[in-house]
Amino acid sequence: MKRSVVATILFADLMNSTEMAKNLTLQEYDEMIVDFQSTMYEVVFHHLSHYGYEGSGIDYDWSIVGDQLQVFLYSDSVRFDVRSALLVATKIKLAWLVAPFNQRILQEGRLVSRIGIGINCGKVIKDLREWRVKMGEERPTIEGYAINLAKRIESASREGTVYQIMVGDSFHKRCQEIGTINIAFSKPWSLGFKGISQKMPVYEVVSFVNFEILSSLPPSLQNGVIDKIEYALTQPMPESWLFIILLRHYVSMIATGEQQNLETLALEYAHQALEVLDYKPPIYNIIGWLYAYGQSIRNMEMAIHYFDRSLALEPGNEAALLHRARALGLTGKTNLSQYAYEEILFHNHDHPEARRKVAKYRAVHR
Amino acid sequence: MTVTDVFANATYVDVGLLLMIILSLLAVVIVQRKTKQKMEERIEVLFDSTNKLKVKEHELSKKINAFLESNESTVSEIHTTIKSLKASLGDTQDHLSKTAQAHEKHTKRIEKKLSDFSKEIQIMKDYIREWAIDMEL
Repeated sequence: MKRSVVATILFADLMNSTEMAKNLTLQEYDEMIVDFQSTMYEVVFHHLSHYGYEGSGIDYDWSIVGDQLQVFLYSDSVRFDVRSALLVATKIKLAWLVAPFNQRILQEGRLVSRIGIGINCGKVIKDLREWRVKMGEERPTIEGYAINLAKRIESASREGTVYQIMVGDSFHKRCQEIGTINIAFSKPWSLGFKGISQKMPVYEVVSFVNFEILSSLPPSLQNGVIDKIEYALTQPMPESWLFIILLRHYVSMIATGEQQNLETLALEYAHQALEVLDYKPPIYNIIGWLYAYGQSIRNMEMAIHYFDRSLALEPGNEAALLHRARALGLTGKTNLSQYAYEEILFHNHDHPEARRKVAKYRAVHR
Repeated sequence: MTVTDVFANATYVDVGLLLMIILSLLAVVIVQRKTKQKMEERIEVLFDSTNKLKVKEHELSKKINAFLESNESTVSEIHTTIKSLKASLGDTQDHLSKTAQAHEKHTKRIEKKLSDFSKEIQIMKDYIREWAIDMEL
């Protein structure tokens, strides 16, 4: 039955695969494609079942052809699909980095093969075509301008410098509306695409802090993934987004008290990340967090210093404002803490912790 | 000396004493006869009584035997009943055991469900904690 749905569309493909096909032997190229396809399959299949998607043709559709993956998500919740698409995008990039093909490349000291990704949201027509049924395929055909645009956005991903995950304007707007995803985008790039006369704004993901990237990887890929990330970061021209994943992992380990000796190591990686990442607020926040909550390196003055640096770049950064307010409270600077919480309320009037704290401080001062 | 001489020389007192002796002897004989008769009558009564006792004893014996027999059957019945009771008790035990096992399985299922639920809660708690950290970095 033909119907219109709002879909989140993700296209991913191997960068420079044509050039690689020229330089690799046919057997090597085939090995690469087989490895790519099985890695994509493993990640996407696991993700969809792990996150409770019902079934192909019901709330998603996906396929792998050659060196290209396409995923359509159209559950009842666009918010859910947006979050899912970001997770799938980051997980396939990570999984491809640690896949046997790239591990061999890394060991040989060569530059790894990368995946470029384009994501977009929009209305599409979902229809089960007769010819498909006759061919014994029950999969619906999905058509729409949003798909064409997503494909073109993906083609711009090789121009990216951080995640190389590019998103369209509608997807960017959805992320801003959701507000509960710790994601940052580059400034919009105005790009012209083949077949589209008007220039379109495209954004690159420059920061995506999410614990689920690692925790929801297929179990088979989780084994040794941290070691592989650490190893990849020792190589020349490392992929800078790996720092964010690694640091987020360290923060989890420190927060749960699973490992005590990670704090200094995490600080070292965070300072390396500052050198390679242009978008620094989350890294400053992580360093501040390490100083505020790390057992062995606890230093509230340093924590406040790094939260201030984050705020200097992004005055409305709620995470930095919140930690700064907490740190000021813990160091006995109650007036400054109150002002910091009031600043949070200025940006977000309903912030529960800020409301509670401000009320408490005001009651004490009466 | 002849009887005539005795009587010729005897006085009336002597004759009187003789008569008294003879009468006494006669009385003794009569008493003895009566006693013997009474004895014989008593023996007969005793014999009858004994016979009756014997019959009674026989009857009693029969009754006792019958009672014993009936007791035996009762004992047997009791035994059978006990056996069946034992069997049914065994069955009950089996039943109880099965019920207990079923309850145990049920309890284990509930325990597992609770454990799974607790894990789910823990996963959710971890998720919320991690999500909160995500938003605070």
